[in-house]
Order: sequence, then structure tokens, then C-alpha cells
Amino acid sequence: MKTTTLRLHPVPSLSALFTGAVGRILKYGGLPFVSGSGGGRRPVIATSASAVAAVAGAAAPFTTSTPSWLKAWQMPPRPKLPEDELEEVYLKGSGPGGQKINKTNSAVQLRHIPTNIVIKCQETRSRTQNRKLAREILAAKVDLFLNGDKSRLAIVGNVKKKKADSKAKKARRKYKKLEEERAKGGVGQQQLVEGAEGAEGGEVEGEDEGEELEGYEEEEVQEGKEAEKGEKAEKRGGNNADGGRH
Amino acid sequence: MPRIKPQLFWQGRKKLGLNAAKLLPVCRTLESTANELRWIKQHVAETPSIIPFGARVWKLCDRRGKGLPLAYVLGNQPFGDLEIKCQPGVLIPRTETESYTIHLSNILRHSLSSSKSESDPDQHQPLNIIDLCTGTGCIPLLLYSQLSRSLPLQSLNIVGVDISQKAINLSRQNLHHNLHAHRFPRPSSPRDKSHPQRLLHFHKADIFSPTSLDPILSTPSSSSTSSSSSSSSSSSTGTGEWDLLTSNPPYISPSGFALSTSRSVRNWEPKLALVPPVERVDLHQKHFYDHWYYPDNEILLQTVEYQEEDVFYARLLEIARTYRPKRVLMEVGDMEQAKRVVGMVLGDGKLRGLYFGNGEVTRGGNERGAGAGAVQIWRDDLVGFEGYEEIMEVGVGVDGQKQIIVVKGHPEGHGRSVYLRRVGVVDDV
Repeated sequence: MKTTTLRLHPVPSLSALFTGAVGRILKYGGLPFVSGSGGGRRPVIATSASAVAAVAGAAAPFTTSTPSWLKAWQMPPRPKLPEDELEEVYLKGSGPGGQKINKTNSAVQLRHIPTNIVIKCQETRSRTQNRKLAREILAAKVDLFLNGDKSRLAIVGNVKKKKADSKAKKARRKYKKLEEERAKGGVGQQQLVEGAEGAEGGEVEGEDEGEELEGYEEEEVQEGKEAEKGEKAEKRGGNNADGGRH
Repeated sequence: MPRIKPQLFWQGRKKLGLNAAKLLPVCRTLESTANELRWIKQHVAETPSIIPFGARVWKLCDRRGKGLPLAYVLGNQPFGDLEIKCQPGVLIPRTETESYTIHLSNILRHSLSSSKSESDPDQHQPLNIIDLCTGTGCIPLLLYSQLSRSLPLQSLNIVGVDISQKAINLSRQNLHHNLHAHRFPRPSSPRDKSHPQRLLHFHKADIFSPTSLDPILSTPSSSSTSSSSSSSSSSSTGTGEWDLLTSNPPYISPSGFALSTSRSVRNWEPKLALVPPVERVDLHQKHFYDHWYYPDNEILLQTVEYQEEDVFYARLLEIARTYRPKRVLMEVGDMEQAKRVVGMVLGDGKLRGLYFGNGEVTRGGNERGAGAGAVQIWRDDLVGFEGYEEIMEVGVGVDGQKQIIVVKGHPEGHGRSVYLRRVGVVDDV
């Protein structure tokens, strides 16, 4: 549990994430979370009083930080904000409106009053739909702002990052081995297949091999650099992973 | 209209591809170009066809680039949680209409669920709603969708009326289209005696011709009155009353049509749904004199002098006067028109009595007692801005009696609709 005090201007580690968020409008071309409506319980992030208290500097506990009833494989529930903490920003349309014009603008702008985070959503043509999406996105943003590493966005991001990392690692190991075998000179593929990585390798055709190897060498270099950045990068990556556009 | 900078075309082409150049003259900004292009691509991706993706997108962008409204290009427009089909010849539903319709359904839901819990357990009494000048049928369909979900035990009887056969056909299509998508439960057939009897019908009628409209208006629940007419209690509890009359009539003056409408509206949307035909004005004024001018109602003489774009409101208020619906909602063009319509209500002694009360109720102060009527003007975008309210006082008659009009919605919004609530009806929001 993080006990850092949260101020209106967040501490540096968090502000790295939120330089664009506080007091400015974040525009969403894509959505972080669309699939499904989220099963099970949807605990409210914080009541009005506790959110204000948190912003004011009191270290209040937040309910979404990995509750004990979660199974190891379960993600924290999707956050939801209470309606009285939200304020819809009025977007003035140009000109007369009604029957006289036929605007396609369905944007919805939403402000979370305690944290002053503002987002604008014009993802769909339906304002009703945009209103729902804006609430989901804002809830995720506020969750990330208040709970940092313990937020759903960060946890889901971390899990995805880990999966992607381990996949990359496996692939790297495999092709390294492949390359070594090749270097030894003309050792049959069958031996390779029986090697560490098992079934997937069997599909590699002899002709394609060269190209794939080259491709992988390039990637390896990049990944090497990333590895140097170490743990910090992983944390940051985890946080960023789902925050932005997809 | 200012020229679009060539730079913007270059940027658009670089960021969004060649299609952007087609859309930019219509959309005017890169942001809305990007949005519309995305929606067009989504639409193409969702509807299967043998024509290649790129070619279809190009064609739709081309049509949109010629100024055709996006709803006609894609063939539909979201309205609340429904998808309303649109065809040239029928007015496209507007977001403002969506906003007040949702607000209205919330009012109905709250007032009904509270009155149910208090005293009246009789839910067989259907909620009678009529929408005149229905167009695509968007208002009746959205009310049906919202009410059947929020009041699952409530019987409904919703009727849409329009003069154009094309609109009636389209509104029936829309009913089936949303039914197939499981957006709301199937309306029950009139013979069906299952408990929440939900009816939804569309009729072709000219609202200015009493012969075609009166049969629809005089029997709010044609099926349920005939079935329950045997029981004497139904007449005493007031079966045969309209609970709500809504309308989004043509309200633009001919000069306003030429000057203040956007090009896509002027060139592509039906004038029938936008501008009241001039001949109606003369015809209706004559009708007004013939039927309405009684010696006991001198004030009526003033109301006859209305502007030509207000002719539909004169007729709608005449209908309200005769059939006394509990609530009336009429869309208007702007605040000025809203005030004119309120003036028409105030100018007519009977309507004022019905919807304002006789003034005695207001003597106690600004707070109006339960059961007093209400005349409200709603601004754009009510949903999300429910907290905003202004109070307007208007003096009426020789003794300068003050009447209160509540103006709801964000102060920057345009006046969008006039809401009347009959004396004795309570809104619980």
C-alpha cells in the first residue's frame, strides 16, 4: 500500500503519467477498455469525502488496491465513479441548432471535480454511448491517478507486459539456439525441434529461416537496450500500456 | 463561409489519406474529418458486401463530400440507445431531440413509479402517448424503449402520426429494425391479453384535418377501452386521457430557411419537415375563426395573429385545448419562438386555466404547490445538466397577474422545447 501523500500537483513519479491529464483535456481516439461491461462487483473508487481528503493530502485507503477477496488470477474490478463527483462540461455548438443544422458532433466532455481531470470522448456517433464511454475512461484515469501502481490500469498493464516479455524471451532463446546450431553447420532441424522449445519450431521452413533469423537479430538488439533500462522501464511500461491509444 | 486553408488539405491527406480531401470541405476541421472518416470505415467494416472495402469507403466519402448528411450516407443515426434508419425525404433525428426525450422519459418514470407506490396499484391503466409529426418515429420508439425497460409492468399505448407515407413506412421499418436487434421488447398485439400490454402504432394523418386526426385522438387506447368498457370503473378513473402529447413540428420560417439553415439541411433534408407550408397559415386562421371564436373568449382574438412559422403550434395547442393531455412537449427553434408559444398558451383563457392554474396557487410564494400546472422552457442538452434552472416571470392580463415559467438546461443552450403540465398532475424528479 502506497502511503505517499497525493497533492493537487502530484508527486513526480505519478506526474510522469499525468503531465497531460491534470487540468488539460485528454482526447481519445481509441479506448482503453471497451470489451464487455465487466463482470461482478464494481466498487466505487472513493466516496466524495475520501477522494477530496486524498487530494488534500491525507493518506486515505482506496478500495480498489488489490482487495483480499481477489484470486491470484483475477484482475481488480473496473472502477466506477459516483455520479455526484462528475461534471459534464458544456460544449457550445455553433449556430442555431435543432432542425436548422445537422451537426455530427457527438462529443462529451467530462470533469472529475475532486481531481480536476478532464477528458473528452467523441468515439462514437451516439452521444449516449459517448457519455458511457467517457465515464469508463475517466474512472480508469482517476483510478490510476489515485492508486498509481495499485490501480486496475497499472495491474492489467503489468500482466500484459509480463506475458509479452516472456513470449519475447522464449522466442529469443529459441532463435538464438537455432542460430547456434546453424553456425555449427548443417545440423538437421529435427534435433532443434526436440530441443528446448518444443512443437512450435517444427513449422519453420528451411528457406524462410534465414530471413526470420535476420529479423530477429534486429529485434534482439532493441530488446537488449530495453533490458538495460531494467525494472524502472518495466514499471513505467506497465502503467503506460493501457493508458493511451490502441 | 471562410475558405479552408490548402495547408489543411495537405495535413489531412498526410494524416488520414486521400479520403480526407473529399470530406474536408464538408467537415471543415481535421478533427471532425477524422471522426467522420472513422465512422464511415466502421460502418463499411460492419456491413458485409462483395465490393472491396476501399472502394466502398471511397464511394461513401464521395457522397458525404457532396454535402449529403452523414446519416443519409450511412443510412442510420444513433438515437439514445436505438439505431434509427434514415432515408432522404424524412428528417434526421437530432441530438437535441434525443436529449429532451430522455429527460421526458425520466420524468414519466419518476412520476409513475412514485404514484404507483403511493396509492394506485392499477397498472392496467395504460400510459397513453401520442407523437405528432413523428418523422422517423424516433420519439415514440425511444420513449417505448426507455419506458418498457424502466417500468416493466406498465402498460403502454404509444402512437406516432405523420402526414408523409414515406415517414410512416420508415418509422415502421425502424420499429422492426430495433426489434430484430433486441433493443426493446416486442409490442403486444391488440388481441393479446397478456399483462403489460404494450402497443406501438404509426398512423398516417394530416394533423390539420380533423376528419383524419380525430379518430386517432378521440380513442387513446382503442383496444383497451373496447375491452375494458364493460367495466364501469374505467370511465370514472379517466381512461381515454392522453398522458403525453409530443411533437417536433416544422418550425422554421421561409426566410429563416434561406438564411439560417446549414447547407446540408437546406439541400438534402425535406422542406416539408422544416418549414410550415404557407397555405396552411391561411387555412388554419380561417379554421381558427370558424371554430374557436366564441364571445366568452375575447383573448383568443390575439392568439390568431401568430407568425407563419408558428402555425403548427397554434394547431397543436388547439388539440391540447380539446383533448387536454396531461403533459405536452413541443420542440421549438429558439428562445424567441419558445416565448411566443408560451404567449399563445397565456393568451388563451382555457389553456391558461389548464396548464398554468388560476393563479391562486402561486399566491403563497415562489414555490408552487403540488398539483399546480407548470409551463417550462427546456434548453439544449438537458441530460447531464439537470441542475440548471432559471425562473422567468411574466405578467398576464389586465391585472398584471404574475405567472412563473421555469427555464431548464444550461444557460448557454438555445431554447429547445416548451413543456406544459396540466393542473393536478405531479412531476416527481
